[in-house]
Amino acid sequence: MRGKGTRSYVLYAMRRSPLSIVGITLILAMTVLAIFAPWIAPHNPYKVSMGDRLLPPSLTHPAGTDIVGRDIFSRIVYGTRLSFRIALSVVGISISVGVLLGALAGFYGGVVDLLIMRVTDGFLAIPSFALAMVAAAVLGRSLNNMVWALALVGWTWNARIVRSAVLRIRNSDFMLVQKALGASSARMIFLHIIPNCMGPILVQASLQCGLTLLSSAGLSFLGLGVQPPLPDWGLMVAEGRTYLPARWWLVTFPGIAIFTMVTGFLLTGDGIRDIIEREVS
Amino acid sequence: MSDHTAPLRNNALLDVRNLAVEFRIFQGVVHAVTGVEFDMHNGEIVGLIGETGCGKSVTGFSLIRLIRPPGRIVGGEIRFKGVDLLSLDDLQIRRIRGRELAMIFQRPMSSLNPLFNIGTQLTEVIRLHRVHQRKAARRLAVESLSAVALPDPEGILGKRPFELSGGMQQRVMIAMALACDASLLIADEPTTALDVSIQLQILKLIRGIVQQRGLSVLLISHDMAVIGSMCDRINVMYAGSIAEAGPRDRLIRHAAHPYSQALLKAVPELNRSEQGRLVAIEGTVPSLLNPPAGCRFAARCPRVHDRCLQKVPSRVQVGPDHFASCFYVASTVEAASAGHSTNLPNAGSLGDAAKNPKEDRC
Repeated sequence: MRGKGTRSYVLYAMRRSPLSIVGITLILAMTVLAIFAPWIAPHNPYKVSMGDRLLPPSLTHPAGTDIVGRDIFSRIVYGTRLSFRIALSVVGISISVGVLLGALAGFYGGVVDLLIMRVTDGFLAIPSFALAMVAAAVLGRSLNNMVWALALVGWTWNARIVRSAVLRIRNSDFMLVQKALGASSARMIFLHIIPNCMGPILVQASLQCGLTLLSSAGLSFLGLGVQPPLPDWGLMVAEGRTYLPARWWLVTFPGIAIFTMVTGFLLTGDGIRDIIEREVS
Repeated sequence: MSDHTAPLRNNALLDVRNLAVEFRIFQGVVHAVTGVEFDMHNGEIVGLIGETGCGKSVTGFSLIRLIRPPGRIVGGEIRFKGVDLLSLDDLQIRRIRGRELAMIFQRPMSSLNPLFNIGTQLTEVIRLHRVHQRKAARRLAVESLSAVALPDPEGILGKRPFELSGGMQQRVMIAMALACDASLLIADEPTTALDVSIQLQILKLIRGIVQQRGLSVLLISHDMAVIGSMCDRINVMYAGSIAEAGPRDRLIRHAAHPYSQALLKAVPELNRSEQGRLVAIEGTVPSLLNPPAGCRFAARCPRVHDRCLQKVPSRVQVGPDHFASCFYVASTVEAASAGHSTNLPNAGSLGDAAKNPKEDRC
């Protein structure tokens, strides 16, 4: 029952959890937007056209135009690329760091565990958004620095989750067998423990993508993240907020985009968790 | 302790001397194993029998240095092919594990990584210790699966652990353990978790491999029928040390230690007469947290003397290659032969039962 069986099982489990289908569909739609942005967007997202400033939604500008006459719909479409880039790089970094440190802490225990876990406790003691703000401000305002700042506050939960998964697997019979067969610690960690933790890691990665997007929109809104003229959704909300409520489209459409993508990631994470838990029970 | 086996020591495959293992826990120090001594030769099946918690598995685990904290090997010597395993560093012991000294465990169903197919796991071990090329390793994997009499070895390579039955999984474990031509296999209750008809098959398989390859097996079990049917020599363990050791037939016919005698009386038999009821051993195993000062069996021993409560008895030779740790061996041997007709199972009947453990257990 390999390959095909697993696939049909996943499809079966997904059907039983409709919200995961909604989540995955949203993310897939966003992916399509990101990949085919040049064909989907009707206008150049950076093209300033002072004559077309603050136009309400119409057929030529489905989501209206902003203060310098750029097409908001095109900017949102291109913004998916930026959002994926931010979410995937932040989560990529913080998952790698979290998995590595969590696995070391769980596997070796003792002093290593104590040291790593006290550091994560330290991070968790500070409100993470405040810490990310400070880090982004100190590093300097740019897209890359914001990624590092978010990764810095993001790895701690990952380390805790991986550590608890490792603790469960470390004492299982097959780890003892591996040891009896002469496997080294590195072999046991990377070939046997981490692959067996992939379930919780996947769930966490998906949820973290959603939460990261929220924080990044927040940082960009505050001016600490993505800098103009990039089509970042948080930045677009910030730029448009002074024109509320009369020019509502400046804020509403980027807001809907943020909401959709965050919801997509969160529902996907929940869906993966449903599938895994069903498999366990 | 007296050392009667000195001449044998040089050519022994495995020679364990005065092994001591402790577990330091919150309540104090548990002396799980104290002064265990035995040796093994090429092509021999040696049994380690005793009740739950007597230290037989701990002994098995120490041989391959798999005692985990809070456990610690605190003394003794384990010579394997002349090398003291306790003096090796981590890398050296890792090279011996799985290559020369292999171990199989009680629960085959959870001994394989559930994520990967059998082929991946089996070739991984082979590539770790024997050959590096994928193709050659795969060929060896097929060979080792057919050596454990699994039908369609090619097909099994592609299967995941959950697709196999417990008996098949234990066969795979044996194949994995022997894929690199280990010369000593430690089998820790290899059949306890399997149902009786499969037990017999697995035991036959192990015996067949021993005859074919000249492998040595340390068979750990609490089941006298299994030990009696499989082993050339038997070590009876009680409360962390070896109470009696000797060749199979001699030990079963002329058990010298009161504990071994009691253990043999507790073996169920099909053709036992009405009067020959099963005899349970009175009392319980002493706590190894604060073991009693004298002989550890004293509290349950029918022939206990004052001396037994104060001093630990040393090993006494009671026959050819047959030793017992008891002060009153001579008298117990007499008593045993006197009581032989009434309630001690004779070697003949146990031998029969032993040849067919399935029947014996039903």
